[in-house]
Amino acid sequence: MRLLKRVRSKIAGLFGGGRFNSDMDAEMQMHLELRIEKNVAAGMSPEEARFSALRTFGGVDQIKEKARDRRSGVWIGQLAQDFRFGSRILRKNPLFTTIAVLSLALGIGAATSVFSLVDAILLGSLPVPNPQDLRVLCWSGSDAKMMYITLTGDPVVPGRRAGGSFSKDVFLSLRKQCASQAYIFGYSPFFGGIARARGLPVSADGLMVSGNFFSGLGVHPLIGSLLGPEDEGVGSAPRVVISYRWWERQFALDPGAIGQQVTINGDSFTIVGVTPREFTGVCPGNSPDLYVSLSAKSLPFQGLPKDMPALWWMAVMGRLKPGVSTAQLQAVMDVTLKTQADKFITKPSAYIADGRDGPAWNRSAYRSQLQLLMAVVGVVLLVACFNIGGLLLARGSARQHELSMRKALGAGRWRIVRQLLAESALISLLGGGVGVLIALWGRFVVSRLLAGSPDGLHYDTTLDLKVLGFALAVTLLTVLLAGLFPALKATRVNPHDGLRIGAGGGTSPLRAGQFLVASQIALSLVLVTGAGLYFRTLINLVSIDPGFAMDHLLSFELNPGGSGYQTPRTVAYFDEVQRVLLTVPGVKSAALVSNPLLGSWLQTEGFTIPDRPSNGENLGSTVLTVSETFFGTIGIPIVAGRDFRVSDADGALKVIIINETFARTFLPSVIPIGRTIKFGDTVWQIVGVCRDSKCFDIKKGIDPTTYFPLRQHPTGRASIVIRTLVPPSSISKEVLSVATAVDPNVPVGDISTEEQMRDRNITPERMLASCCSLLAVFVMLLSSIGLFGLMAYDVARRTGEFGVRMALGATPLHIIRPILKGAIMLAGIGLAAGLPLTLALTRVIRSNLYGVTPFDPETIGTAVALLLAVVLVAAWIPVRRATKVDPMVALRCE
Amino acid sequence: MAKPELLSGTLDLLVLQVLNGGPLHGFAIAERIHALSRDVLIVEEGSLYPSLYRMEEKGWIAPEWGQSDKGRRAKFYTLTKDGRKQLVSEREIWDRVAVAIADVLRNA
Repeated sequence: MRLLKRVRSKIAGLFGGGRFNSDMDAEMQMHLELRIEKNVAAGMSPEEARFSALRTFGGVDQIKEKARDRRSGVWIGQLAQDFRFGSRILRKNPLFTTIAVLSLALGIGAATSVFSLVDAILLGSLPVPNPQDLRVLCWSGSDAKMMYITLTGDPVVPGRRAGGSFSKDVFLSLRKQCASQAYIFGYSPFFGGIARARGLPVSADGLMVSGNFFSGLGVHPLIGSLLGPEDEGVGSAPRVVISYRWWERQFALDPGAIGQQVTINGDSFTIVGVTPREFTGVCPGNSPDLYVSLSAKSLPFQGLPKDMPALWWMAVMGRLKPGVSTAQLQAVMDVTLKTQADKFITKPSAYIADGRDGPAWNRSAYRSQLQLLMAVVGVVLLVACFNIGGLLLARGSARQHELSMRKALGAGRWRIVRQLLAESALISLLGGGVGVLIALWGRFVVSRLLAGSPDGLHYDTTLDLKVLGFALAVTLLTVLLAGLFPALKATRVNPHDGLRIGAGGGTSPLRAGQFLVASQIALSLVLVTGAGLYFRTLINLVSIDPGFAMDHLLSFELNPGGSGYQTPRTVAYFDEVQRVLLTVPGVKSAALVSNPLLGSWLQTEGFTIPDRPSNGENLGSTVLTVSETFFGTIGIPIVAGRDFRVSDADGALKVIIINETFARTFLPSVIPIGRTIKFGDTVWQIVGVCRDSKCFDIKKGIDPTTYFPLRQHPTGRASIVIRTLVPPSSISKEVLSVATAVDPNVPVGDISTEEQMRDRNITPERMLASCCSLLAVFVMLLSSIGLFGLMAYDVARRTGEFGVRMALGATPLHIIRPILKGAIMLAGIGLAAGLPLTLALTRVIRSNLYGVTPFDPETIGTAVALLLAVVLVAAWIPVRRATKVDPMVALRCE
Repeated sequence: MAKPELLSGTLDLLVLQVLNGGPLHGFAIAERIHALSRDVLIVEEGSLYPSLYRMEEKGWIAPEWGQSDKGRRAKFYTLTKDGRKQLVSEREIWDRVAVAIADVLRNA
């Protein structure tokens, strides 16, 4: 009952404000009247009686205000009132509101979209139970002689060779030997397979996985079942598990997909299950569509048999059993490697990495860039906050009159601060809301920029609660930063001073505003210089000479090995493809190379030099298999010896061509032609030396490289390179259809020009350059708005002064000069403060730069000049307004 | 003689005590306290009404509009059951404090 009454009273307080007020009025009115009557009865004259009554009563409104404040629950009503009033004020100043909300929205939007990616790439774990128990198993050794595949990048162990791939034998022994320490499972990716679901051919990427892959990870099927140990047997019926994404795309989420057949490279697989939506494989950013068994016959690895002991092609992960430490697993794994891998690795030892987010090297590629982006976005947000702080500060001063009036009318200081804070909160909420909308769109943009393709990274960048929380925290921080300071400042006015019309008491907010603007200019310098350095880096990268002419080159991948072609037939197939391609008008020549030029993956092999004792150094070379037309087509000159010939075929003397770096590194001061080199157990004779070229990654130095002739060193999969006489994209369709017609069952990859390949190679740099430029422009815009606001405020404040001076004969120049001087001084201070900051920060990004020093005077000079120009433009509009002051109007204002 | 100020917190007690005698409106409450204290205590309207509204909200007193003896519309306050309980406990506290203060003044 009592509770009910209280609640009712509170609700009445909220909504019945009007009734409450009129009650109070009536009650106090009666009180006054009674008092007056009493005074008259005591002998006062009516006027005297009334005056005395009013005097004893005190301020009616103050009492009402106090009474209202006393009632609990009233704060909700007041808050609503504050917000109502705030929104009215904001609506009355649309320009101010738009600028404030937009700058905040862009700042928060940029921060949230970058954070979504950082969250997905750096902070996320695999969506499996207990990801902290997962480990990635790798090996290291002083030398390695097998062919090991770099799957997602290799771990770095200083002074040693290290890799993250194993042969099937070693994987099986590891799984057996370490069984009491961990559940060990393995996988290897396959690309560019051709799958036919419902009869339509689609290119399919996926993973070949060990039978215990899903159980080891702890993944359960969304529907159907997953692969199990029984799938590892060679004779077992081929089964496939599909991803949610593929299920959605190919089967429109139809549960009837289970049991249907999918043809992968000619072999039929039965769909048995679908993985959960959140599970996108073990390497986030690279989500497989199909999961098949390691023993799938139609999927050899690079056309090589998967049980070859010298082919190390599988990635291996493990889940620690309860109570087992990484060191215990390491000890057992060390022993296994020593007994099982000593044939290939000298002094092998295990290297175990954290596996909660899969093989982490793939993430580390983006890590430094993302961290940098985070820092940049932090600066942007800071500048946006400064901007709003400055705007509110200037407005706070402009509203001194209003605030003094309210204070004089009896509003408490806290009430006024709360009112101003409510306004800032509204701006922040609006900005935050629009910012989240921008982020929803922006994360796709950032993802695309990062990936350099319209698909974007295959990261799950849904704006989860963490990200929203981050946006909210930033918003609230902005309220505090941008709102509290000006609010306190504005209320520290004596109402008496504030009410004096045109009082020049606004110098101190001006000083705070100057500080904010100078800081903005300093921060802008940092960003503009950074963007400039990245831009220079990008230009330098684009103008790198890779050692061959990149124009008029087309390339695409062919995978006859994937369709079951064996060695002699593969060579014949490749010959036929080259022959038909030459019939396409506009094709000058065609060649084959095992790895795509400027592509993304690298193959390294260890070797020995028979007539030279190995003194413990690592002998390793990038290996490429090429057709005899390769050097001529690409345009890499043979500097010594001869090119490959058609006669360098099976049965003839096994020959290789090395690059200059190889000769310089491993065969210094000897004539390399005629020397022999041993890869595995096979002896190869060097017949030629070719000029160095950056055929893998234009940013990196040139590695020692060995070229094998295709006819002696078969590959089941190769990249076709075509030199064209006409613009390459004009004939790409025809080229592709002619190549496909040779055998429609052979998977054909995407066709692209070498320039496109190069662009993919420099994606991170391009991404940084474009993101930084965008943000730098944005920050410059913010800073100029800040400066503009400050100057406009100053000019408006001094209108009267200008009027007097012009009335007394000052020319416009007299008025302009000191104002412009002030602006330039401000810019100078900002730039002077920004310069050491810039130098300190650009040093951090040194490793991301190419061909330009962090202290590049040209870039810094350009940035300074650009900012000065922006400052002048921003200052010019208010300054011009100052000269347009009509003395008569200005003086009448006073 | 200086005008004695009401000790803070005692206004509520006085108002409750006065209302214990029956419903009164605001002006009458002030007058009654003034008279009962033999013209010593003057209740400031600036304190009286906030105090009334607060106690009304706490449920110690209940307002009701009615006719004053001179036929005016007036808001009368009545002591509620909770108010009576509050009066008892506040009186106890006051008595203890008063005795304590008297003791100090006498013995110091």
